[in-house]
Amino acid sequence: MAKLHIDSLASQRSASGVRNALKSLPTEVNDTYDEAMKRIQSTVDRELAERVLSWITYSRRPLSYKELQHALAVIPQMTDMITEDLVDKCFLIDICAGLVVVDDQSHIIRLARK
Amino acid sequence: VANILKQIIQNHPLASESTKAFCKEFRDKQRRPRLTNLIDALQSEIRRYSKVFFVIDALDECPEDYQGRLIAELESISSTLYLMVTSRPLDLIKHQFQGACHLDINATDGDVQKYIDSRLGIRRGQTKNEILLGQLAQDNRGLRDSIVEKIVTNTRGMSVLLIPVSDYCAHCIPIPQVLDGQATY
Repeated sequence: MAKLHIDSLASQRSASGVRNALKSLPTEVNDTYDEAMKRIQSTVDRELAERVLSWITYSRRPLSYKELQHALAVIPQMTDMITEDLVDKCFLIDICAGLVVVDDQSHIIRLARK
Repeated sequence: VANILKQIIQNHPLASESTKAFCKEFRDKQRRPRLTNLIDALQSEIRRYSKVFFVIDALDECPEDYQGRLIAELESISSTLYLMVTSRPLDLIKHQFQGACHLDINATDGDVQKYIDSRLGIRRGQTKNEILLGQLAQDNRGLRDSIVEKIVTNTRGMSVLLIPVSDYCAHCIPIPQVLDGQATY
């Protein structure tokens, strides 16, 4: 919960924004998750964030963040991929509003808990 | 239950041929096995070990209708299977494990504060959002204090229950040692 709170505050761009966000931090865990989803849905990167969450949720086995970067870069009809197509790892974490973490050791990207 | 079976097989490449065949059968058919099939497969895998320990982490996140059933099914599988559960202390869970010994784990204010400090400080691999928040907090002491105070207050009273379901776990595992250094925020 402390993690999600920090991630919520980190989406703000100014000190006053952070202060306002502090006032409305939910006190219940479920509300905290709801707030994170709402934050995702209010941004321009909503579609990409939802693709990240979908890949993590539906993949048959856990994916490393590199595998996920490649999966996200695939678009219909493409025949070749260059590294310029890959989205930055930290950016992927930011747009998912704290719901996603990358394990330092295994480099697995997964859903955060509590 | 399918997930537990999957974990046992994935971590131990020597899964029995019959279980491998079972998994392949359902994968090829693109169909989900029934609970009874899964329980049977799990049972045959567990029989291959003298003792098996399962930790069901965050039982409260399992849909309410299935919590009791999951535990009951697992408990009935084998007497060599030892179960331990963690959960938020919700009424339903407390009711379900009434009378069971348990350990209440709380993050102290100091733990939470340390965590916040580490998130606001400079670390490798930080995201842009994190770096910016860290800078805002560094430039503005008052803001930093407000962040710490609010989050410490909000997380206070949040605890996790550790419930050794099988007697064996309750008696043989020195719980404080198991938990050493694993405070949950």
